[in-house]
Amino acid sequence: MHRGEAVVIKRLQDPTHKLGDEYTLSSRPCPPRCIHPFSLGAGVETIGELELLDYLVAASEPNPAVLVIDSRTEDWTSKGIIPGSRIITWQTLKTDTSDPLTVMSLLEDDFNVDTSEALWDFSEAKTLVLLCNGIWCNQSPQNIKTLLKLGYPAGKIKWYRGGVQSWVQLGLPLVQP
Amino acid sequence: MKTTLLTALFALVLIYSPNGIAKPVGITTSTLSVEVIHNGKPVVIQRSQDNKNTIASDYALTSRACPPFCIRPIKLAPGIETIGELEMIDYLVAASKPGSDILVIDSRTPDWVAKGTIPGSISIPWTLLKEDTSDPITIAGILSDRFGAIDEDELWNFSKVKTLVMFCNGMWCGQSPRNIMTLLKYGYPADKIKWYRGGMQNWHALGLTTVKGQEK
Repeated sequence: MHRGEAVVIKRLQDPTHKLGDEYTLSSRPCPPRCIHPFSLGAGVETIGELELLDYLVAASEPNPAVLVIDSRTEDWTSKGIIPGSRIITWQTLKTDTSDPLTVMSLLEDDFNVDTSEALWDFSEAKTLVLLCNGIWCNQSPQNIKTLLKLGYPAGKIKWYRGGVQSWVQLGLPLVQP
Repeated sequence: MKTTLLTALFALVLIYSPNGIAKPVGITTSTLSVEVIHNGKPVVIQRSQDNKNTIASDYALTSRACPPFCIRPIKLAPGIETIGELEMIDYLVAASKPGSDILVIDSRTPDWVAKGTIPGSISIPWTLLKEDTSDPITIAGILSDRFGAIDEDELWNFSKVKTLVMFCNGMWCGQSPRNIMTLLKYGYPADKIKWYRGGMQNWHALGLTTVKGQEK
C-alpha cells in the first residue's frame, strides 16, 4: 500500500532494459560518499531486497508494527521512492539539525514509543526499516546511530544497505512520493 | 615550436580538465587504494577516479530472466556470513600474504572471468564443485589440494581447511550460493565460508578495479 492505494511491486519485464539516470554513476566523491561496511554493528540487522519486500507488505497492513523509512532529502525523493516507504528526511531525525520536539513527536506519534515517563518505553515501538541511496549513502546509517543513542532497541532497527541503488539495479519500481 | 605549444596546451587542458580537478574517490575516508597479489603479480585496487564514470554496460542490465537469475536472500544458510566490499577488500589483502589460509574464489564460468574479475581472487568455476556437472575425483581434488581438507578413508577432516570467500555476479547469481550449499553438505564448516553477495555487480557499481582473468 502506498498512500492508501494498492501498488503492485514487480520487476521490469524487459530483459534488455538498462539502468538509467543517476544510478549508473560508479565514482561519487568519497568522502563523503564512501563505501559502508556490510554491518552497522550494535545488533542492527542488514537486510536485502527479499527481506525488504516482506517488510513493505507488513507495513501495508492495518495498524502495522513496521515502518519503512526513506531517509533521503527531497531532491532525491521527489524523483521516486520505494512503494510502501515513508519519507522522513535524515535531517529531521538528526539531533543537531533538528530540534528535540520534532524528534520527540516522531518517536511518540510515528514510531509508537511511549515517552510519557522519564524513561522511555520502547516495548510497543515499531520495527523501523531504514534506507537511503545505497552502499555509498550515509543518511540512514547516521539516523540509525542517533536512534541507538536515544535508546531505540537495535533488534527493532533494520538497514537496507543496498538502498534505492540496488532496488533500481534489479528493475524494481519507484513511485512518486 | 608548434608542437611545443600544442604540448603545453595539452598539459594545461589536462590540468584543468574535469579529471584533473576531480574530487577523490576513496574506498573509505582513510583508504584510497590497497595492493593485492593477483596471479603472482601486484595489482592496486582502487575506485575509478573519474566522478563521471558509469557502470560497465554488462552490469547496467536490470532485468535478467528470473528464473534463473533471481534475487537471493541476504543470508544463505545459518552460520554463513554475508560480507560487503570493505570486508572483501580485507580478505583480498589477507589472501595475498604468503601462506595465507584465505582463498577468494570467483565461481563464475570462464567466459565471465575472462572479461574481468576481482584482483586477488582465483577462478574455480561452479560447475567443477557441482555434483551433477563434475565428478567425485575432481571435487575430492579441489577439497584436498585447494582447500586443505584431509581425506581420512571416506571421511573428510575439515579441521585445517582454508577460509573460503565466494562470489559470482551478484545478488541475482546462483553460482556461488549453489557451491556453498554443496560444501555445507560435505561438512565444510560454515564459519569458514563467507559470501560476497554483491559480487561483480556491486564491485562494478562502485567503480572498483578489475583484472582480466585467465581462462582455465
